[in-house]
Amino acid sequence: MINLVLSILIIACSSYIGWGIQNYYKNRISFYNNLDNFLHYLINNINFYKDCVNKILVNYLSATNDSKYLKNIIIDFMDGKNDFDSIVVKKDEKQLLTNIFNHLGKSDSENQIAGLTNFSTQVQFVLKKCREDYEKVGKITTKLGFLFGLALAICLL
Amino acid sequence: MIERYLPVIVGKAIAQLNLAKLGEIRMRIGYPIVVDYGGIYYLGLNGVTDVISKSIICDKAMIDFVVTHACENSIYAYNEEIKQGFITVEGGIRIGLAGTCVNEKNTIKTIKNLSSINIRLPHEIRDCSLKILEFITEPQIVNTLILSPPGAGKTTLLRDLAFQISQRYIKNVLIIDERNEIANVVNGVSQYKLGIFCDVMTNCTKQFGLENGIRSMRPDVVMTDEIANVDDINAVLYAQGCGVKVIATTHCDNLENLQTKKDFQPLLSNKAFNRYIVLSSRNGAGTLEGVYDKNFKCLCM
Repeated sequence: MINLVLSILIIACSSYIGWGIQNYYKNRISFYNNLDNFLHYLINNINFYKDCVNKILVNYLSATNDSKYLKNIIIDFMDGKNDFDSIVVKKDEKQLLTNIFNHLGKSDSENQIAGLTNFSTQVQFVLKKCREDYEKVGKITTKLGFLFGLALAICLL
Repeated sequence: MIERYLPVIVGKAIAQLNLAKLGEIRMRIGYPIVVDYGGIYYLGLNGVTDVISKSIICDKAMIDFVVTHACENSIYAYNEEIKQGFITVEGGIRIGLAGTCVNEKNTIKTIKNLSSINIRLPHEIRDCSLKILEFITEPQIVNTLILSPPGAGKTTLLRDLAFQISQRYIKNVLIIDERNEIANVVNGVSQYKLGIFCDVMTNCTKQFGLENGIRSMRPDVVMTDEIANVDDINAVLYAQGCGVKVIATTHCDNLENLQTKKDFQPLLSNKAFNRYIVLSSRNGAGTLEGVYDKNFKCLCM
């Protein structure tokens, strides 16, 4: 009986871990998608209204339903931090994030828009890679987790 | 309000001063910070000082701090102003910039390597225009040019004139505020009491403001600050040709020097202004040196 309960627990835990990994891949896609939309929002606002960065960000935060990951980074930037990180950002992508936010407001509108457009291209490249990773790995992690748990349970039984 | 644009050490020192008395703060890299506080003084940790060794020495980081905060971390939003050599921030505070101009195709793209800044604090002095009001408004409002060297109270006088003419004479006054110094509009609301018949156009050239403002707002009187070049002068002549009274200011210390200015000849030869008000800072900013008619005859000393 104990073995049976333990087996069910192992399967549940293993499936949960798989589901967590799948969510990580999903969140990465969502994060970079939001980041790309955010860059376009900045481009439009700078190009047309030439509002100050902080005003644009406040408007963005109040209007968006984006995931907490991007919102937290924006809040960090508004608090004056210049080192940005998130659980959904890999180490080698951190520099891109830092570059984007440290670039904000540092040049005239022409160069600012050109820079943001360039960052958008880079973000779209990362987004494409995130989608590929999700298709390759993320989609099957819940199933793999379940199967791994099941295999352990069988061994236990 | 000024403290938020200043580095902490400077802000703390300024906080100990009476802001109503503070005219300007000058910061030059490598030199003591100087303030106009009813006289020229160094800024020390505990306020103003005469002793240079007790003064706060300005460095590049301080200048960068002021400019970055004045621009609200958004150079692109202020670059048009930076190109003209100043930034106007909330409270009508004007930050003049000196550095290296970046040129491209014969136009200035921006100013980099800033080496000095001059922070000028505006003051609202209610009723300061009363002593000259009768010369401008009796029997009717006339075209008027206010002359003075920088920092002698032209803008303060113009601001009060806008209030008095609007309130006392129930005239529609349009203020063309190119640098947002006269009205200091923040989110569409002037930070000064300008009178209920005042309209303000900010951040537009005088030419644009005078031509379009007259069409769109139908003013009785137009006020503008610091006319300086041919475009400004043509815009003033255009407004007068439309039957609108113009009250303007310019940098000049007396009428003799005004007459030597080549660009002003069309205004002078056409007797475009009926009154000339000359100010100086001889006995403090806003000292009235004289009121003159269109033939330069003195009406009041």
